[in-house]
Amino acid sequence: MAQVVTEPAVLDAEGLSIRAINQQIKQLLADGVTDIEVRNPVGQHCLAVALKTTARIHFRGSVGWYAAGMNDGAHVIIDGNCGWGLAECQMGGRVEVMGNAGSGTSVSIRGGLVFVRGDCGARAGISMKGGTLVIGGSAGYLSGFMMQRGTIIICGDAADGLGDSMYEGTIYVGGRVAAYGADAVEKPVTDADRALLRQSLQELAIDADRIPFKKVESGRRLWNFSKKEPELWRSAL
Amino acid sequence: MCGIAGVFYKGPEPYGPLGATLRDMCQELFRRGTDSVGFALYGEPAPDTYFVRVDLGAARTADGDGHAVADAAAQLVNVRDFKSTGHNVRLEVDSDAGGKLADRIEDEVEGARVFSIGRSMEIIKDLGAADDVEQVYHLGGYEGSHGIGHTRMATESRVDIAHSHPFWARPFPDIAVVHNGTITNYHKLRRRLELKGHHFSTGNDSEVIAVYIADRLENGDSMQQALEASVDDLDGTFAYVVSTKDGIGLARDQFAMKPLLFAEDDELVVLASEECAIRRVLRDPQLVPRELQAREVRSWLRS
Repeated sequence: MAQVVTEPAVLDAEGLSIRAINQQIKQLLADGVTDIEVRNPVGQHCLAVALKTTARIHFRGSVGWYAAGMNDGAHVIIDGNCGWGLAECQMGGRVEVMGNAGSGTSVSIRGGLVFVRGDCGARAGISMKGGTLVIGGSAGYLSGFMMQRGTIIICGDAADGLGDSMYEGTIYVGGRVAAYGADAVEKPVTDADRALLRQSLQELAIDADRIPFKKVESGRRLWNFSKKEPELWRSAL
Repeated sequence: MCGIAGVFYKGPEPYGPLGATLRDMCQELFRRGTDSVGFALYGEPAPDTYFVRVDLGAARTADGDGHAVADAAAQLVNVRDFKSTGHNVRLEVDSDAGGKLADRIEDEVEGARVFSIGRSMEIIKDLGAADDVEQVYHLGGYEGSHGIGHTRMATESRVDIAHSHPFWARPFPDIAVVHNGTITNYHKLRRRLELKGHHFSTGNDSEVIAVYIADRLENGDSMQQALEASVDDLDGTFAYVVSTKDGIGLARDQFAMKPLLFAEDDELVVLASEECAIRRVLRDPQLVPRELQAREVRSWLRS
């Protein structure tokens, strides 16, 4: 049986306000469209936010801050770069950025996948409560800070303060770590880790076996206050 | 939150539509600051010529055409031309009187404030948005080699024209700064620079960056050295752009709190707080803006 291939609905954002673009996206979704192509977003802010849908929204160009914020199920693709706050508080779904992302990428997400093919700025994946963040390039200062659950995979380098004061969750780093944050410790990479990395990166066309991943988790020494370890607390606070 | 922008034209004849480019970028950055907007524009220097930009302030009604300012300047230097636009008087003079010209004008004309003196630099700033400033000062026709722009959302000091960016590094000709952030060791740094004899025109924390950089350049630092030292000496949050007659330099604080991106091709460098401002003037999708990292500094200078 021949597969039915439908053309995406095209929305030209040139000259439209942020509100008009978002309203038109929501109107198309309400009309039952499942594939939307947005042309000329030229770095506008707060696009495709708070979408409860499984539709695909493809931005042909760069977007600004808080793109795909509070996403719940949508598959958002951004051909260019994005500003800070990408997919903040995402509940589920999938956000892919082909270029670089600003600071605060994937903050506090609870589920789904956020993928940045290029580099991320400072504070990527801080306070994550679930889900997966994959960074094809490098991650900026204090990434993974106070992470609570979920997985961050950084294929390139990580700047100062990686995994500072993380509670739980796992960070994998392929490149050089400038410095670990307080109580972030390296753990041995197991076969289960390698299988997870292979599976997670395969669909993103990244060969996990060619990257010498390290695994970083919480040392759990900051979980409970101990008077016997004043030095640890002094360095953490 | 403030918006900052910058343009630097490369090549042997580095001149382009500077005024229009910076105006368009600051229009795009309007969300980041609606209190005031300002520009430091660098044109082609003429032999033995200094440009002076003076805000008339309270003297506006008494000296609408700028005569009093021109008379005050004429006490020290030869005034070739003067013209009044909006709140502003622009003078063409043959010297800055060894740094004394600005003080003399302010002493003689009550309410007047000297915004800039330079061989190629002119600072234009006013309350409102980029469109409002364009209507009064007609930046669109200004050709130049490089420049910086700013949209201000005041947090630390008064909303008036004098406290708007860019800040001139008084009395050093041709040095200015635009800044997004807060300098928390401002009072300490300012006291240290005042002890060295530097004069401050406002109570704005950003002004200290301009004077700090000018002081280091005067004492023999290269632009790159001055920028690198500033990342350690300035406390607080900052993304700033400093401009001199030779070019522009940028720096970002150790926490990367304030955004700053740049993009460059064979003809020019464009930088801004947000990509939308860069895209407004560089539409080539192949050109990928890059974010300045924590503690990173960059400069583009004409040798």
